[in-house]
Amino acid sequence: MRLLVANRGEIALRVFRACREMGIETVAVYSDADRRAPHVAAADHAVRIGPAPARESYLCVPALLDAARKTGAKLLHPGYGFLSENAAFARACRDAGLTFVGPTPEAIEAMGSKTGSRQLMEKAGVPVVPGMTRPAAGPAEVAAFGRKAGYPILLKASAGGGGKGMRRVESESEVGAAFERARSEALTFFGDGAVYAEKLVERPRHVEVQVVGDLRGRRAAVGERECSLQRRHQKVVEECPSPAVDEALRARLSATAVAAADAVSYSSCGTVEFLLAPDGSFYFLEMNTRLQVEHPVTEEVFGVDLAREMIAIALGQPLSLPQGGVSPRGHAIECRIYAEDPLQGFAPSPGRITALRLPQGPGVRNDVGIEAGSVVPIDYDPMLGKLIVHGSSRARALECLSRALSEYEISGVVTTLPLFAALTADPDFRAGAFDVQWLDRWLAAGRLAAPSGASPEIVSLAAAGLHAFEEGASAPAPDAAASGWRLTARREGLRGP
Amino acid sequence: MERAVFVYRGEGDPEEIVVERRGSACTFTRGGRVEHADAAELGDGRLSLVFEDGRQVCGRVAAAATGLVAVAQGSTAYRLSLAEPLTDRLAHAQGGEHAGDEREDVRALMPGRVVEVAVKVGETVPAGGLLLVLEAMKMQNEIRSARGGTVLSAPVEKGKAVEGGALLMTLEAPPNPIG
Repeated sequence: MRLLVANRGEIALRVFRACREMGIETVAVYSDADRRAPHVAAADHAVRIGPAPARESYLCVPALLDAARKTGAKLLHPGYGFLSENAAFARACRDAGLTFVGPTPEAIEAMGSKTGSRQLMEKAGVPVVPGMTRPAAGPAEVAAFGRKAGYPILLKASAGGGGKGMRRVESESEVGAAFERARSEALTFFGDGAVYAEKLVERPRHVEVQVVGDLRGRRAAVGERECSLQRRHQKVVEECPSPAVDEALRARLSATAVAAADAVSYSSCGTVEFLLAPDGSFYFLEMNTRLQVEHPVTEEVFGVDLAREMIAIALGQPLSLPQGGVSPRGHAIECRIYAEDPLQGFAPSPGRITALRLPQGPGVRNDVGIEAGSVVPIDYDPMLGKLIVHGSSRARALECLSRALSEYEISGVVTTLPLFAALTADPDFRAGAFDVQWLDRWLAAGRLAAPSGASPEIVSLAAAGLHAFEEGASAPAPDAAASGWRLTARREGLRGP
Repeated sequence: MERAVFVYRGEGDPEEIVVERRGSACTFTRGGRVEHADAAELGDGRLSLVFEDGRQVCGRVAAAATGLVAVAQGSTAYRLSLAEPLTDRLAHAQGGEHAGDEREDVRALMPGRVVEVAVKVGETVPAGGLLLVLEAMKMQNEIRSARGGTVLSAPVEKGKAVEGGALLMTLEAPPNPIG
């Protein structure tokens, strides 16, 4: 049995790990920018699928199908992003005799159109936010909706996700320019320029429910995740469970999420996203018909392996989770580490990782797609990996996070690690008192600053280090200079006649 | 014996730090206070200091820009203004020349692709006006003018890739409204 992952970075490695544990051989695909990427070196088989631009490699369906045929892969896991929510791709896999590790093309299609899925949810009795029921033909339609629903409104790419191609519009005068930009981004990133508008619910939280369904029609919810910490609609920190959800609300959210999944006869892992208003009412946002970036927090708290579950389900095995639900244990927090400079407006920082020190110890999990020496290309999403911590309570998880961050070092590129260190010290974050706009307000208020007040020890260290640097006197430590080969050679020499 | 003198500009007045090193033994003289420490370069390139009273500090030190030193201690990245007296003077001289500059050079912060050029040579742009849109790492970044002015040159073309640091546009500062 062989499984091809049509993806790169940490998620390719994540799925490969599940495969190894299940005794399934792994197939990596790579673009010219990724020949030296860790996911290629970790795989049993690897196939070049094209040049660096995603459209000519990771989004190129014929190249992916060829790779599967060439290596004899029978299963294909799409990861997240790229073609993971592309119904035509899932269908092309099916037509090629490949088992797509994910939901059916029909379910992807039904949930993939945001406007179509809204209508479907309304029919299934799942609450939705007021919005346009089909893509806007032009800015005039958007303006008409804005007048009716009231500003601010949100422009969204029909085929989008992850905040790409989303624009907040404050007034009618902004509609024209925002519409053009949203359409252009939608076309560039999703190959589909359709956009629509919806009413913006002020100060909501983003809470989502993990659902899993097998091919026999059994479906279960596996708790919720809190994903309110977002920067410009991009998730930054996720937790499980949500600090804003109690037992009663969890039961209502779970039942609604399973009803949403039932409406499209959903199989495999999926996520039903909700906006949770301060008064406890919630609205269906969208369903992500794939494995989420933030799936590890659910895995840590519920003791499940979602990547493995997806593969097992695709192979026709029954759901291993009890339909009545599994019990949560403690609290987990995930930080998405990006090659972006949080002190320079999150400007991307591609380049070579010169040093990497991952945190270790109890409660720490690292899902990363980089190694020391690896290059972060400009062609793809700049996420380097995720730090996930787990503790017996939210307070313990926060202590663990703070400790893990103090051990974490990525040199060579600038990363968002300092942002998480600052957040763990913030009283609102510690109290769980935030909404989806909280982080943007926090950043706009300049709450993130470069560390000031270096201790005398740090100043001495800098002086000593710079001294060594200038003298060229940084004689490498003897252990580092003598490689194993050279030591062996010396021993051989000693043994000589 | 090696000896180096640095100027540290922290929160207070600039102060001089003298580092003397003999083998692994370092002596720091700062504000008349003398401290001794043992220095060790670790296999992964980090530097560790153990002071006489047992305090230990470890981190990665790298020269960042002129007069700036980056110290990474876990996820905490310090940037210290720690300059050799000579380079410090040079940095000041350069700053003086730039102060009277009436041109604005707009450079790419990162490698990317130009998706839109919003202005032509000779056009006048207000402060904050859109100059071009640069696509990098899945985002379209709107590059705007900081001070506004007249576009003197725009060596960019729609659809073309640019390197990080590449000159995208040069603007001439607007005429002084008072003068």
